[in-house]
Amino acid sequence: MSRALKQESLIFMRENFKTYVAFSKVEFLRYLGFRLSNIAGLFTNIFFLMFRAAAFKALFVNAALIGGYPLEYILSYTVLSQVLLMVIPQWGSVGVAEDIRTGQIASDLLKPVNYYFMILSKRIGVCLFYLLMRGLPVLIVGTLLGLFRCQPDFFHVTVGIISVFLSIVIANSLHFLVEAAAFWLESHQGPKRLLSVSLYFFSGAFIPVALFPPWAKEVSSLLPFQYTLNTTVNILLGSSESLQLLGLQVMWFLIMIFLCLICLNRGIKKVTLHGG
Amino acid sequence: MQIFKLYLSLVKLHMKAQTSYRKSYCIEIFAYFLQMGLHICGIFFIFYHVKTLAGWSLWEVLYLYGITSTAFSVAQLVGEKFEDLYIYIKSGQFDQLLTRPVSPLIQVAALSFRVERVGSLIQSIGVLCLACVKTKVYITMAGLGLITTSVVSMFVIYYALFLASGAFSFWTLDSNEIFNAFTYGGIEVSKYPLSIYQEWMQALFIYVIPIGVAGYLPAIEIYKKPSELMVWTPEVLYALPIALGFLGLTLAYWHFSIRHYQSTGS
Repeated sequence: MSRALKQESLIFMRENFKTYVAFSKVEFLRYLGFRLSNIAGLFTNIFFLMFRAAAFKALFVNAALIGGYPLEYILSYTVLSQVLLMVIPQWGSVGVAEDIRTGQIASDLLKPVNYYFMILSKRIGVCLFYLLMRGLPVLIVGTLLGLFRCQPDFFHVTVGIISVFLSIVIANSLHFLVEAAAFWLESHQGPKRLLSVSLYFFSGAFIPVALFPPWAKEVSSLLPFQYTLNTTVNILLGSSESLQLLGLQVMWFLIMIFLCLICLNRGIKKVTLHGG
Repeated sequence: MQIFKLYLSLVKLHMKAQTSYRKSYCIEIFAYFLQMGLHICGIFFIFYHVKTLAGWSLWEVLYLYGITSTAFSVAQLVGEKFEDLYIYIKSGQFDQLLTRPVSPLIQVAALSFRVERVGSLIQSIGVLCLACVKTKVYITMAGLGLITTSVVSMFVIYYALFLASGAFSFWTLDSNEIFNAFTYGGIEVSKYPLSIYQEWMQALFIYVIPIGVAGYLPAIEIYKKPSELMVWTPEVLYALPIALGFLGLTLAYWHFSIRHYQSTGS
């Protein structure tokens, strides 16, 4: 059943590629409208960057290496994690739960596109907006403050960009899955909070995964969360295992798409049961 | 008394609405529990690599964290919804709040009440007590007084920040994310000794937003640490008056903003 489902979705994807790009574009443009709000967020991002950087600097006062990493690495990591914080969403809604609650999903399902891919392409538009309007300024400020001291080569930037895309899909799919819980639980608030908390901590946005003690690293490597922000940042900072890391991301990328499609398929049946 | 009764009945109604999705709600309580746990884990992870941070031991830092998160949890219980006030303003629901014969401050307080936050509060108090025991802060009247002043002043400041964030949204709608730099940023700063930050950050968190006066200065007094701040600092004794002064300013800002509020309707 699932193979047929996948094939069907792939055909959908090819035929409707233009439509999906249009979804992304519209969302991108919609977000462009909230200029003041973005500036406020930018300000907060930069403040957090400076607070975190100061705390990590204090950590390195008596040691050259911590957890096997020098201060420069941790500072560059902190800059990139603030750059990608909004690009690879840790919290916030992807709109599924709202669609289910309001019944909007009924009309969305009538559209000749796959609902999951529609949400995903909308979110990609949003994430691109954050990459340009939030990430880039944070990167520039981080560099000007002398916190970002890494000169990545062509190879790592290329692999890094692919990795950013994979992370965006993995993170948004996690949000999709959890919000789709609203099909069954009628509220998504609990699962959503659980996801945000875990994602923020285990993706390295709070503390670099490199600074976790060994046992916590092991736990983290079994969960999907670190294969978003943490992996992408490590690749961009020139990890020697970039290709293996990318491979792991591709694995989670496929798992997430598969799970989301199955979940949608089951959920739709549930919606029909609700009626009207 | 009348106000308190109203507050209680509002909270009761609000809780009924929250708990109507039971499964999701249970997961949410667990999520908040995990959130606090992971935050504390973060501090443990830092101290896995070093013995002291700027001369402060693990449990002394956890004391700072305990003070901060106890005060912040209480502030969230009565003021978190100020952050979402723009949603009420946008949809026109805020007018509803204004037409009722209860101060909007009380209504927001009732809306902010969440049982899972009570869980975080208990966790925070637990961390604070454990830190006090581990660092052998023997409970003297003076020590107890300092700890209480510290928590109360910090609560007042965080509540004032939530209030200011709400007042700000009257003017800009959803740009009040800027206050996250001071509320959640404030937690980041006040869970570590203030002396590790640059001079301008120390000045910011002492003179502009007096979180440092409420948390760090009493802690120096308690642990008899040398004050390594690069800025001139007021006495510990002033923590509460300064916090109340800060609240007074933000209240004035709130009243000023609400007077200029012109609904969404046309």
